[in-house]
Amino acid sequence: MEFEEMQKIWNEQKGENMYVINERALQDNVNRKKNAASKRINTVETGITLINSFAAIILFIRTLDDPHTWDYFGSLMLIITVVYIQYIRYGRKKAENTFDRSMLGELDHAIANTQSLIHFSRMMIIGYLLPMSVFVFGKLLALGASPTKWALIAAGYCLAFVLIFWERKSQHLPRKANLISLRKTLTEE
Amino acid sequence: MRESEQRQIFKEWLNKYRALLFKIIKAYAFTIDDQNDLFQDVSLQIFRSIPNFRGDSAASTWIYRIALNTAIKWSTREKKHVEGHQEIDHSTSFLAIKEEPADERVAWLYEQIKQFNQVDRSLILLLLEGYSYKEMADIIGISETNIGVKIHRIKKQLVNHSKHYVNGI
Repeated sequence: MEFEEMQKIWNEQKGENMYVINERALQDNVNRKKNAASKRINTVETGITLINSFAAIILFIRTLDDPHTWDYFGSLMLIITVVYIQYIRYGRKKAENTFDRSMLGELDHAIANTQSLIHFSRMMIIGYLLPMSVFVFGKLLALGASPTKWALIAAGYCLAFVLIFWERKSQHLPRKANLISLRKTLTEE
Repeated sequence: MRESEQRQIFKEWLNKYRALLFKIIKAYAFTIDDQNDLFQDVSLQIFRSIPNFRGDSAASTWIYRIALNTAIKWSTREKKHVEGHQEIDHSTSFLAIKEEPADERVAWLYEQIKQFNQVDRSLILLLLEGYSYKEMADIIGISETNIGVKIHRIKKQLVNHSKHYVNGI
């Protein structure tokens, strides 16, 4: 069969009447999905921003009455995290409604996005969890906390580390590898 | 742009280009659930893109570009509709065939398209739809020469496969 014949076969499907769309259900679902997707990420970003800002203010106010290096350090770490999250959010919002890219442009953008998620998870460990754990455990040591408290907080940190590593290994890294392989397929002759 | 206006354009585009969308969906998603999931993703992206449409290209080309980009990215996800997505309403099918194409070779053609990688699939779709190399290069983002090389290889493969099909009847 020649390719031109395949094209004729393909064109048999041109009639729009061949297909039916459940418009109402689709519109409802698109709306729900649109709201759910942006709501989920907005909630996470706003939640972390509010919690960290609140915690930073409380720690800072405490240092006014009782100056303590751990509290200064913790407060500063929290503020840095808030600024970083807002920076990421700004970039995400800016890129959200860009649609005039080519397929290669879209792939490059998706690779960059996945890379930034990988950086973000690394930052969460190196720039957030580790310094915060130094702050928290330093405080526990200074206050002479009970072994139960130590165990509970240590378990919480372990869980957070495991979840971040798991997300990175099972989600972001394979997706990045897939996208890079797709890009290679696209650009090689 | 007002949301009501956006909705109206979305509705018109869906009606006008549903055959185009269905072909892309069918080339990238092979189960009903996945087709529904991808169709939702594509629809959402098209809806979001409407305020950005300036009319520099035909609406069909714009929709093709968005649908292909969404389908390609969708297909890189490891576990399709399971993760990072809203659950699918299994009782609702958003896009369905009202009447099957008379020629059974259409189904054979889809089977052949499925054998290719995601990038080649998009090129086959564009080629079958009659896009020029220049338009394809613009949509894909690679040079016309590269497009030409790929198309030559794809056509050769398809024609070779068709020999087995014709012999098999």
